[in-house]
Amino acid sequence: MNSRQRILLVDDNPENLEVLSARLRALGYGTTVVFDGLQAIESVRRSTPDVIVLDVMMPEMNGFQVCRAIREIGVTVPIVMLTSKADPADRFWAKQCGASVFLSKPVDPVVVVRQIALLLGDA
Amino acid sequence: MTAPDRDSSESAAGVVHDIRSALGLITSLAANVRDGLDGPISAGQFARCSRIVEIAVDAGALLERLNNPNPIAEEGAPRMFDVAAFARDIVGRLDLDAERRGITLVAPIGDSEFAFAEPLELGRAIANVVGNALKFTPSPGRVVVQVGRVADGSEAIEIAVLDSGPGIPAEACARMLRAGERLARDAHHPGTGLGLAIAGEIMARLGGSIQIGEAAGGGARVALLIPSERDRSFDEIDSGERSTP
Repeated sequence: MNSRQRILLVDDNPENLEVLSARLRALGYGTTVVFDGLQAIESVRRSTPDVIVLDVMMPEMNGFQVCRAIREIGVTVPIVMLTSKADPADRFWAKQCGASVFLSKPVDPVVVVRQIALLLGDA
Repeated sequence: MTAPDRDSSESAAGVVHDIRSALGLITSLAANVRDGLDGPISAGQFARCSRIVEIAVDAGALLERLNNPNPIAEEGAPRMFDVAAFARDIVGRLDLDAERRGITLVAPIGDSEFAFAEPLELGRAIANVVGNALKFTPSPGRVVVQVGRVADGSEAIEIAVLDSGPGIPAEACARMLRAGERLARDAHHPGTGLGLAIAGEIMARLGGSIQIGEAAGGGARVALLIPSERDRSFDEIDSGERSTP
């Protein structure tokens, strides 16, 4: 586990951000939390994280739009879509927009953390 | 689709989304307590939180069935669950087969043992090993399934299947994990010799292993070993104050 590795968490629900952030920090990751897509894009422009965990249903911009915008500015870090959407169409759009992994809630956060570790080459 | 139908369908999708969101939060909150992120907890609290996570994830799978009545392999996502209860359930389903063969099948008893694994795969491995034991144990005989922690410091979970049959010669143990391998004495039994090989492949995929040896009182002993993911993660999370089951 590398404490310098930083995960950007994007979700409009503060409780979701809090519980996942607590787990990641306990494992030694640095976390940055933002509440909408515009903040996410701004954060990525300022400093590229090592992994982005992105909700889909958010005000202003949805997660697919945010994902595509992040890819369009040339950021290639892994993006995990962590969402309550679960239709095959959602998986398809996630892939189309450049997401690396699509996880549907409810999911054991151990699975989320393991996936992040795999993407970072820590597992 | 007419406009009212579409509205109704979109509204239903919205409700399913909101239920998923709520289940997701329940899962995360309970998992954080389970894994000691909110402070030390007792073994009982650990078991209850694990159960909450398991129920919430199962409820999510039920929602999936609303949209897709023929779920594919994704249904069996890896998760933390009570392997002892799971093994008891699978062994219970093999009772009739055991009775038909004149074998007494003894299910695991005792405490919960939680491990992180993929239930459908693990279930196949357990069923293969128990089925194998039932098949090659002469009647009247006995097959005992035990679940516990390995006492070698690794804290791995072991599902051991012991039978009262003639056992497997030491020199043949390793090759029994190769597809198509069978003992000459078993040639009259129908089968392909794939049961243990498939179980071995499944355990490798789960990050575990399979061990074949001799039971204490004679007979074969086949053990499925699941790495203790929880404890490995847990060591990284806290200082070790939390009690473990």
